[in-house]
Amino acid sequence: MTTTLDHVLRVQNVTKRFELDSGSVVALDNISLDVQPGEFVSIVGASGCGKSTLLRLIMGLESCTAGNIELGEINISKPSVDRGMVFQESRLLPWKTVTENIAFGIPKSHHKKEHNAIVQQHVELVGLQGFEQALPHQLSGGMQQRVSIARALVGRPDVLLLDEPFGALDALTRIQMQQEVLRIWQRERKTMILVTHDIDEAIYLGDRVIVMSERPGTIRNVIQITLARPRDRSSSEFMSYRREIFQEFFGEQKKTFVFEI
Amino acid sequence: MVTNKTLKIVDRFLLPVVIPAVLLMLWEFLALKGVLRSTILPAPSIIGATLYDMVVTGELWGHLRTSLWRVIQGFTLGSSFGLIAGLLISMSLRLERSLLLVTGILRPIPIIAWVPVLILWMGIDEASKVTVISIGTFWPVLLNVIQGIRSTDRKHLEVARILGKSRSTILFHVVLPSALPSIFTGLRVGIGIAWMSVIGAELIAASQGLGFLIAYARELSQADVMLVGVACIGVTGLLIDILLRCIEKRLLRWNVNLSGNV
Ligand SMILES: Nc1ncnc2c1ncn2[C@@H]1O[C@H](COP(=O)(O)OP(=O)(O)OP(=O)(O)O)[C@@H](O)[C@H]1O
Ligand SMILES: [Mg+2]
Repeated sequence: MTTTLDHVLRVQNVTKRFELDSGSVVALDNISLDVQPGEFVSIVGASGCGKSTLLRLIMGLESCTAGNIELGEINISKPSVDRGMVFQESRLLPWKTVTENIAFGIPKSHHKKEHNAIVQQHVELVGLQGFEQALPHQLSGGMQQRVSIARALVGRPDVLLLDEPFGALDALTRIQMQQEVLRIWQRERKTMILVTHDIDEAIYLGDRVIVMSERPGTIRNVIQITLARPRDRSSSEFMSYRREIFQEFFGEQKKTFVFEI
Repeated sequence: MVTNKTLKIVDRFLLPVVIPAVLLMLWEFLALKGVLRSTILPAPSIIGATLYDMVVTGELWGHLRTSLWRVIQGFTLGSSFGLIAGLLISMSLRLERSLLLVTGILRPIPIIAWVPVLILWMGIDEASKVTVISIGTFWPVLLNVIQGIRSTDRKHLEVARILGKSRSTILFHVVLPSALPSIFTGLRVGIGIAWMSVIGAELIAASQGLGFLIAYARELSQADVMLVGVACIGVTGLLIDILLRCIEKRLLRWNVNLSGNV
């Protein structure tokens, strides 16, 4: 396990085209991206620019039309437990309790004896003590998403992919969850890639913010965030990062509009 | 508050009891007045007396036990086959396609139509009756298993893939649990049909069982015995359904759609 920690995630000249009856859609066009072990990368971009597609390719749920993706020496072609993923919907199994759902994330190779201890550890990691035996429909949206994160982490993946994990939560819960993810990331030192619509969220969490452009999806800009954590959302540096990213989206002419958002 | 609560009690418990009781009294009254002929529709009190007699002598229980035992055998057989066939068919589109015509022809055949055929093939004793019941059970279980498995949430399957689960883990932890509500619907419909099939089979040819009881009473023109048999079929059917609903509720605690309508 320790050796894999040094593994860099390499996305090399990846193009993804979907063939439809009505023709083909180029979702991603020649994307290249290196993510260092333990790095937190945020990806923002307009709806439909291929963010989910990129994560699904890294996960191995889809295959690249051109180019390739490597984690360490290994070429990614199918899902594997060295990568975990969290979606916008928690996707918990409704017939399993919190602990059973988390335990579902443990790979088969683990010893049965250790299961309970590992699961309990992750229940605590996401702060769900007291809800171990609850069923998903008895939890709030935020709590469900915590379970989903715990399930993705319990298999000890090197890379955690988060596809708009807080998109369906209210603003306050979202901020709380961002702090939670930050804490988990600082503790576990996993590589994390977060797709989000929320520019504040991207800046608050990311070492880098990747801005994507749409149709076809390409990387428009990469912004290094050098603020120390935890970051103050109302600081002037934070604001200036925010302004910079807004400008990437709307261009210079809409600067005045940006301040109001 | 109080009126609300009493209203609820009236609604939930009194209404289902009071209405039948009133009807029963009306029936008794009409029978007493001679409006209803006792050879066709005997008074409730006469039926009640017959029922009491048959319970005390153990005659009713004997017939009921025979019918129930046939249903248990046939239902177990039919639902097992339905479950296995459903699993196999829903996993292979090719298998489904090759069976499409066969199932299409076999399925609409009324169960009762099988009785004479099966008696010819298997003789008049238990085997033919159990087979009839299992055929009746088989179809609803089969169809609901297939439908349940086919409607497994793709997103859950994707999660299982991401977590690197084996085929058997996916089957037992994702596919089957998600199909369980549908499978239960199949089982409930199945046992209803099983219960009806056993009576049908016994009406045609039997020397024991509730169906036989009714058929035999008809030959002797014992309307009260017939009605005891009929009532016993209804009550037993209801009890079986309640039992299955209870099991379903226990097993499918997670199914939010269920809690409302039980
Ligand atoms: N399975 C698919 N089949 C065909 N086209 C697809 C498929 N998945 C995605 N696409 C297309 O690829 C493009 C990118 O989709 P993707 O889901 O990656 O966007 P996104 O950036 O995640 O959008 P959003 O922010 O709304 O989630 C879209 O134009 C979409 O229509
Ligand atoms: Mg998306």
